Amino acid sequence: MGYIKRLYQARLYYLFLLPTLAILLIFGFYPPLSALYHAFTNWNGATAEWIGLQNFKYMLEDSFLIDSVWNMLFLLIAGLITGNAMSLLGAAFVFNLKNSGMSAFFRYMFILPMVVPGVVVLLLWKSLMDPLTGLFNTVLASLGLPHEYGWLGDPAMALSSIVLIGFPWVAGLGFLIYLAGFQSISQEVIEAAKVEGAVGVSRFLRIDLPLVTGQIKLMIVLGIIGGLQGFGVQLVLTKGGPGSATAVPGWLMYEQAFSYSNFGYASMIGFVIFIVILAITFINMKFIKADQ
Amino acid sequence: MFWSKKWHQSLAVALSTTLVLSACSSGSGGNESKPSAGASESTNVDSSSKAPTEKKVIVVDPGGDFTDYAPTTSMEKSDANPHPYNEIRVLADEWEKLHPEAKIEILSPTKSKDRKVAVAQLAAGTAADIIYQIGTFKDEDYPKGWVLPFDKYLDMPNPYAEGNAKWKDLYNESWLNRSGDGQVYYIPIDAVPIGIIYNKELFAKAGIDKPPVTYTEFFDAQQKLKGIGIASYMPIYRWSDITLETAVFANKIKEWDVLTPNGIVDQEEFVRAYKKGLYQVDSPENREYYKLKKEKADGYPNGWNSIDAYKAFVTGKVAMIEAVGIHMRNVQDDKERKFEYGTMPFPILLQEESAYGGANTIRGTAGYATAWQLTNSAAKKGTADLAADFLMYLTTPKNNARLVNNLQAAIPAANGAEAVEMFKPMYDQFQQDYKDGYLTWGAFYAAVLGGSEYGQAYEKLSVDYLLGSISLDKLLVELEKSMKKSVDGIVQQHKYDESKW
Repeated sequence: MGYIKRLYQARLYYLFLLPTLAILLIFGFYPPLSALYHAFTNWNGATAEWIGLQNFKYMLEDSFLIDSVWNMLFLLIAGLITGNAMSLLGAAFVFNLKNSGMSAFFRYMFILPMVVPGVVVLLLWKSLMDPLTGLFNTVLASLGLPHEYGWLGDPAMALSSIVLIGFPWVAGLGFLIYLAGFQSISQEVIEAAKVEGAVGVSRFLRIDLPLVTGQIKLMIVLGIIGGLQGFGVQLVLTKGGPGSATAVPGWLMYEQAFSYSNFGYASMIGFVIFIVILAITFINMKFIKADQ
Repeated sequence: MFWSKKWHQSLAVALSTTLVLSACSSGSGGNESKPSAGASESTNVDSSSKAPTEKKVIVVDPGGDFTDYAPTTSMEKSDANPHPYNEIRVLADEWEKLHPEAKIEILSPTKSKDRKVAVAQLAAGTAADIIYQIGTFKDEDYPKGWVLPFDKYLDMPNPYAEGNAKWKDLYNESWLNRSGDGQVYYIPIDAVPIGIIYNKELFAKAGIDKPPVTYTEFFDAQQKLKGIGIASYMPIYRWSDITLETAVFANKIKEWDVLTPNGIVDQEEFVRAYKKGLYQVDSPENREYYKLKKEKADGYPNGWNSIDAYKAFVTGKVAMIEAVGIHMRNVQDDKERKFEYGTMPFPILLQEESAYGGANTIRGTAGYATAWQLTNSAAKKGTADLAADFLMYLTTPKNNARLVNNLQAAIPAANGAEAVEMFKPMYDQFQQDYKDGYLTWGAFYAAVLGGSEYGQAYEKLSVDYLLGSISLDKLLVELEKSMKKSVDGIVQQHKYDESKW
């Protein structure tokens, strides 16, 4: 009775929470639960018959999907390195600038590109990498260097070309997070380090870097989750090509659903990706907690 | 304070008022016609008719293969609006005058062209009554009851076409692809002019006197263009592959085209041929096909997969591109083009050039392109007959020419309809080849006939092969795996009666 009374007393709060909860259940929880069910069916957009683990079995035999996992791992590892190393270094440089005006200038310059829509950035890079008319090949030709590179159209370099997008990989969320991390380092620590003779690279490696480990771990976790499921580049630029050179599981999932109406199979791919992300996130959280 | 007695009373009054007002409102549904439209229409209605009834609304989503038929927002020609178009609305208004009980609503922009949108709408039964989709999808959609067959309408006379005994007489029967159940699920609107556009100045620079006609001449032209450092050719789709595959397998078509002999191998015939071992993925014909494909691809520029072929052509970076009507129109109007251009048909494969040469696909047109379908929405709303009647109106030779020619991107599908001047040479070539007994466009194309799973594998693996990522042997092994799975899926889906085979 006491519980019901407390519930009644708090009824207004529950009433205000209800719309949000309803939306969350409908748009946040129902779709993945529906996908979980349909992963075990031959859902084609109209009918769905239960077929058990047939979709999963097909996944294990799908050579395109298996090959795409290697592409995904390559892009994931390269993305973690480029996305974190350069923004970490960039944030460190800006943090250590003595002139506050220059510091503010570089902060704005590195953050400003974030307002450009991602699709625009991708299309811009596609234009730069156009084998016939793109700036890269044109500049190489003008310098008398080999210049007939296929970039995104060459299976041997398509994945590397994707990694190149965004060079020098400084601007963005990582820069902001690392800069905030550096700025949260107490001045006393920096002064103490100076007194001890730890300056420059030595201070960065022994003092600054260990103090932003939390931010690094966060970025790695976010990077892994994004890398496992992302397929924006494939959707906008390559369609998984040339051939299947840049296909990743997320792209194949999308393609199966919306190009071939194999929603059941796509749901199974999505379900497996979800399980993998869940497992990795769980391990990461344990790792972070243990460290703390 | 918030829940005081006064507040409760105010809330009760407000809710009660709202309830009473709702009950008093007319609560009309979506289809109720505007009273003024109904009143003005009544002057056209027989005086003995009853009070104006609700008009049946036929929704048309006028997508097209290469250009949509939706009206542009303005009829004023400008750089941003180079092809103002409104003919479908004009034709719809004419038809409405003849059918005051109905109203045509034309969607702009079109939606059903996007397969994702079409699937969602068809599954929910909310698609337009008449839609456009790429032809390959009809075989997936008809078993689900998403699209309606046209056969009963095709056997009726088209009342708007003078002297027409059956609507289907307006079309080349062999070009009306029947689905697995033997029925026709679309009405052709246009036929696509197709061939190769070439840069006359680059040809002259390379010493090529005349457009190549045979594959030997074509490969020779490619070598000459390579000699002057120019990329010779780029595909936009895989139209040239279709003609080549048909040519290579031409001698087998008669052997496979047995269930519905019409000069085209349909899906059941293909599955039968595969199951009986008459068609094999690793066959001498297929090896010849891929060999010729690879030789043609040697003239493609590096990284061709990521190049905009059209842009590369108009900027003079590529000497030839395969093209259809809309590309020809755009090249004609493109201000970036600074050179003279010409058009030519795809090369033919002679017997002297290949053990499998000698019979080729009709040149000049790839057959019917835009074709509109009746959907389950029309069945649900009871507008199917009226929608079919509207399509009959649109597809008389005269009206079909009006519908299509204003956009200058295609040839009207109806026999007897005039084509625009730009496409007359292609149309004339097609008519000559048709008389000479050339094979129908797409008489055989495994990537479509083999089902979506095989088609996916073909798209990816054939590019991998052309780019040198995999060998021909590996390509054929992987394609065979996909073909087996795909064909099994087709048999399961369509439940073919194999005893008929």
